Amino acid sequence: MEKVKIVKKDEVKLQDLVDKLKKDPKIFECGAIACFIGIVRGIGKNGSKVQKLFYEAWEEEAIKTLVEIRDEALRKNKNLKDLLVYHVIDELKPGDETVFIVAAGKHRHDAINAVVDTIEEIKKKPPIWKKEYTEKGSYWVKE
Amino acid sequence: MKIKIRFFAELREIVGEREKILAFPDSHVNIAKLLNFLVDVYGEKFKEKIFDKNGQLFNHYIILVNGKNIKFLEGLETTLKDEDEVSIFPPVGGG
Repeated sequence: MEKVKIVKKDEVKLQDLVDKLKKDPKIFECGAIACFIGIVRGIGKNGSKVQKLFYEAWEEEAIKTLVEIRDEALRKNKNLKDLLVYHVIDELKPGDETVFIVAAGKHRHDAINAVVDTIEEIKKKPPIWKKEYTEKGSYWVKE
Repeated sequence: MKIKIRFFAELREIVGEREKILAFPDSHVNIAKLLNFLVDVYGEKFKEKIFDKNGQLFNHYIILVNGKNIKFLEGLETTLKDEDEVSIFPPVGGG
């Protein structure tokens, strides 16, 4: 199973990722799985209704960066036993899923903190951009 | 000398392409010269995106030469050579 992947809209469901994580033998050391799903907000940064959100990526480099983020999370905390990062790069509508992060940890804080830290890194590092199209116009979103 | 340049997001929209190969007769080309050339070609829209009103490159723009950030090379004075790849990143927005 790929631990890090760029996917299209509707290509993956959260339960599939959780099920795959639970098949890994390392899960026997874990007491918690934490999940994060990013979704497209219906109200844009300019305060008006979002019609669509378009993602663009330098995919090859984005995957390398996501792998580095994952590797660093596992290196920093040996109680974090597994981490899946799947990012959607596609044209999306409000409510659509944008990113999945699933973490398995020995204890709840290991899993929860990994998920939080990982999404913060994803906001800053990979060459991924998104353009919000709203009723009042479109713009590239700067985090 | 030929340089490949990659554009993303708002710059890709201005340039109209994801990548271009530019040929320079002069072998002494650095990032500053390249950016000024791009401003000459693509005009004010391009200039406003990457330079502030003092003519400085916006901090939130990242320029890579062969995958290395110019901040860790010689900044805008980073010299380019034949077949170098330059990637110009607007502010990223993953997640």
